[in-house]
Amino acid sequence: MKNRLTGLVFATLLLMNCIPSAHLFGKATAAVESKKTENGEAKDAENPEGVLWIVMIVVLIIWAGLAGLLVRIDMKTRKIEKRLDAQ
Amino acid sequence: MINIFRIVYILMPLTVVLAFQWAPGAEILGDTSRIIYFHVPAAWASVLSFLVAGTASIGYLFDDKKKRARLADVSHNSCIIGMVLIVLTTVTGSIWAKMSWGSFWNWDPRETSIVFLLLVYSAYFSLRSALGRKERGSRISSAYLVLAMFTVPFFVFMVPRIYPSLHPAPLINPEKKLFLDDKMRITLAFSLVSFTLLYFYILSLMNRISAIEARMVINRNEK
Repeated sequence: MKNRLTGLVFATLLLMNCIPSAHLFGKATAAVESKKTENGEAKDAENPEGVLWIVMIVVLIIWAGLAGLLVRIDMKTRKIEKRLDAQ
Repeated sequence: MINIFRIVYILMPLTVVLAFQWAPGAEILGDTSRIIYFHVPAAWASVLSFLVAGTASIGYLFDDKKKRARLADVSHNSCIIGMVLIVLTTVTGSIWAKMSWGSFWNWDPRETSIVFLLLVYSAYFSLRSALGRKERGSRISSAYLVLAMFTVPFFVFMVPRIYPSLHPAPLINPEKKLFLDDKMRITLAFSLVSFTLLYFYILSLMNRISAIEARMVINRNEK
């Protein structure tokens, strides 16, 4: 159970950290390209502020998944603790 | 007993909202600077977890009554979380490095020191799996963790200050100034608290699971 907890926490945290990083990385690359091509306005239009909202919602959904997992493990652990106490 | 670390359930989403909507992007880096709210707290939590692991190991080594044998489990669990967080720090740092400096890896003093830390703590896991969880093995592993703990301040705080680094001026610098906007500073503080609480919450869960495993072994032996 501990290994599963570690693995799942790692996977979700990695997603939670890398999705914004990867998105912002893409944005930075686009900005560099726009400077190179001197077509900044066209590139900026492809990256509206709304995208930041979408990324935020994705990160929040991933966090909800991690939180749900932690609550589930917490409840399961408490159940086993009670069973052991009763023995 | 109410677990206060559960505040993280509310605090983490709040941090995400602050990081993406409230805090402004930095002057030169723009939106890419928002990685700071994930990269720095992950690094801080990994340092904290290694310090907790070392401190718990000291407690285990100097405990004559052997009543606190669980401290070995605490230090091991803290190390596991620390490794997870340090890998996250490296991954997010590499992505940020590509954006800011044009390459995923630059052998910057801070990047190099994190590789050394990864190696130091990877060696701990090899050592522990080779020696096992019995008394002698646990004592040697704990002694190693105490030694490893003393390398953390050297690699994290001293090396980047000795050698010139590509990283921006650290938060605590010779001028004693914080080069951050007020909103960015507050968001970073929220993020640091959230990651710290998340670390302690996961650690408490892992410790409870370790205690259950230990009790189950005792019950099995009694039968």
